[in-house]
Amino acid sequence: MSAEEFRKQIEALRAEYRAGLPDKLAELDGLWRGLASGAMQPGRLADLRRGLHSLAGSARTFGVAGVGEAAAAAESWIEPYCNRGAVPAPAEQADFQRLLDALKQAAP
Amino acid sequence: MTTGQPVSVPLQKILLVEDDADIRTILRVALEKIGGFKVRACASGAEGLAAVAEFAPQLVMLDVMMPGMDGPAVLSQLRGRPDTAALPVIFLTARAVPADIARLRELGAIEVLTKPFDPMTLHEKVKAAWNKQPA
Repeated sequence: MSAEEFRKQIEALRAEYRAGLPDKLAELDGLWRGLASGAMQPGRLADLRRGLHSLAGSARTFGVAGVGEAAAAAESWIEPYCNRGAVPAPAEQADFQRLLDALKQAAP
Repeated sequence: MTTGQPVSVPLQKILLVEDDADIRTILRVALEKIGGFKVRACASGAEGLAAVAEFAPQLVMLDVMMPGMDGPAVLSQLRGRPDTAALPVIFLTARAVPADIARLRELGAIEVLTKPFDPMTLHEKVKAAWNKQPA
């Protein structure tokens, strides 16, 4: 495979990744809503953190730097809660919601 | 016993363990198509450990944060088996924090590569890490 063909393949993968972003963000949003409302167990915080971590690593690799940075910020915010296994109190939840909103706005 | 000289055996077979399907795909394409390596890609630590005996990789690339068995736990398992105790490992991490990278090196990784990475040049970094190992 030539370098040009490889570049085209990478571009196709990047386009596919961008097309799949809304589903990834919707999944994270659903997790957060479930946790914030108490419908999900605090143990699911680990899934939320892992999803954000994964997005932080992958989005920048796939050329969507803004999403990666926003995901990294949200991951950093939620990490201590995840480590404690405690869902943020209602008064704190607006802070995380703002980070999630910024993440959604960063998506192309 | 090591001689301090760079390793002379060419790198051909890489076992890749990464839970994120998107990253797994782009890693595989980058390593196979540009790097020319033979790659076996696994989605979990358990799957990777099971593949080691059959695939017989020369190098393992391990994502750090994975559900179930994370990268350091996989490395620990590899080090505990006589046939894989010295198998070279490269960690992949999205946390480019110097303290974390130092900790991963102390666990015995020959290299720690951070995400994001450039798929066009990844194979060069992998080859460089391989070549700088003592023979």
